[in-house]
Amino acid sequence: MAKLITQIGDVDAVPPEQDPNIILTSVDKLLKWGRSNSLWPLGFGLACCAMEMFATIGSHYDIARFGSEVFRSSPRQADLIIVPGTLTKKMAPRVKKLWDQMPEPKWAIAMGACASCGGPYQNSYSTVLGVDKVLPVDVYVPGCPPRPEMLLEGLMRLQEKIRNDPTISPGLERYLKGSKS
Amino acid sequence: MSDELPDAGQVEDYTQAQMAALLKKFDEDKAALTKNQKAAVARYNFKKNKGMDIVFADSPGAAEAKAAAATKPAAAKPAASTGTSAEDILKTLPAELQALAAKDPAELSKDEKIALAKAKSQAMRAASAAKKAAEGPPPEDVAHDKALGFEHAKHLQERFGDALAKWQMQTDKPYAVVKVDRVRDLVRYLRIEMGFDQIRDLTACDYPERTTMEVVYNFSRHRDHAHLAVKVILPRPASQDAELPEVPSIMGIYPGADWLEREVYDMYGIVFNGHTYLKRLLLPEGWTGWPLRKDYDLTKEQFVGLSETGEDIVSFRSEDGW
Repeated sequence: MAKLITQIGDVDAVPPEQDPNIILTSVDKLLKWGRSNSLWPLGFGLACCAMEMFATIGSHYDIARFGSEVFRSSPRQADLIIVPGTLTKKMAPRVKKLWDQMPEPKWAIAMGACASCGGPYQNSYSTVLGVDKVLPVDVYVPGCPPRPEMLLEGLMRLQEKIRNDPTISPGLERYLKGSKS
Repeated sequence: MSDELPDAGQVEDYTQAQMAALLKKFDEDKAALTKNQKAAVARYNFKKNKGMDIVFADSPGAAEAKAAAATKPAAAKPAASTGTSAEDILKTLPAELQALAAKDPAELSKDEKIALAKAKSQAMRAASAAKKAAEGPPPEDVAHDKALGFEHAKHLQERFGDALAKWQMQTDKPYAVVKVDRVRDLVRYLRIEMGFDQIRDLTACDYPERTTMEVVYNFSRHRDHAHLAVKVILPRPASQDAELPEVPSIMGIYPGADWLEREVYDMYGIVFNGHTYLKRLLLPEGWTGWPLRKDYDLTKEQFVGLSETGEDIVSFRSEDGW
């Protein structure tokens, strides 16, 4: 419970006798906490890394523990794209299109060596050397392929990143601006 | 009948007539045979299937073969050491290296040791190659004979001898080199008359040093797992832009060759005449060049983008891509 509270707000500001009945926080922090624990990934795979991703979804590793079990089949319902595998030049514009179709706010995980930097396919006629040439990547997960634990670690790092993002949430900013005028 | 046959495990222990009787007995009543006799049948079948020479007790040369087999471990050693012993190798080295070799190894510097070791291994290799060459017919002839030891290869040679340039072995399977204008006849014959019901693979190789390209067909048939590779040797185009080499398509004979031919076209730029839909299989339509040819220029990167209607746009400019 204490961990949950520190994720959301300022626990020290609450008098000890009232803990845990009162949590003081900002709307922005609460939003980020909510978002970080309900990332909806896009159900999409490129190569062998996708197999490890499926294993992560499965009951043994159970990505649902992190609130990310809802793999969406439409980019319009997803806010996280895990790029699992080798990105070929022919596939690159398609992945870009998927990324463009996802609504803000959105995040990207490059899963495996190929998606991070091209992996073993340096000097290849057909491979894009890293998915960051196509879309902005938040977390790089190394490995060939990474084990499910590794992907979960990457997901937790992304959650951390979302929670500790110093900028105000895009949606909230728009709301505040709207209410002022 | 079992009493008349010798109770022995080697094929060489039987006369030809005895082996025939043994095989007949094997088919009729397996249980009546002894363990050794069953082993002899298995050895005989193995040799027959592999196309090996079978020596019977009454065939000429049997005694020598038996003697050779008995003395093999003992005889092999001195034979191997002649011509390749350490002293003989040293004699073939240049004078300064011989002097080095005569010294105490502890006195030598690292570079000298390396030079000596290199020279030694080189001489050793040369000596063993020379020994091999002196021993028997060239390896190509051996492989040719071995390839024709296969029943289906022999049959094909009899029927299509004029279309076949040569026979060789590809590890333990035979392959034939066929003339370009006879490919379709031969493949049709393989499929219809010889029962090769599967095309396992169709691929190509680029050999800049020989200035040839090869198209390789791999066929097999399920009834006896026989395997046959057929190669077509084509002249190699001088550059990526030069006119493309052509072979007849076998898509009409083996429908499975459809995508395989498209892939070879995609990667090597070999045109399959008669293919109904010869387009690039993996790369986008507008791609320039044939990437699996050895002269493909990797420094000129190509970029792929999407048009409004979803077609691929290939360009050398990075701003046109993704």
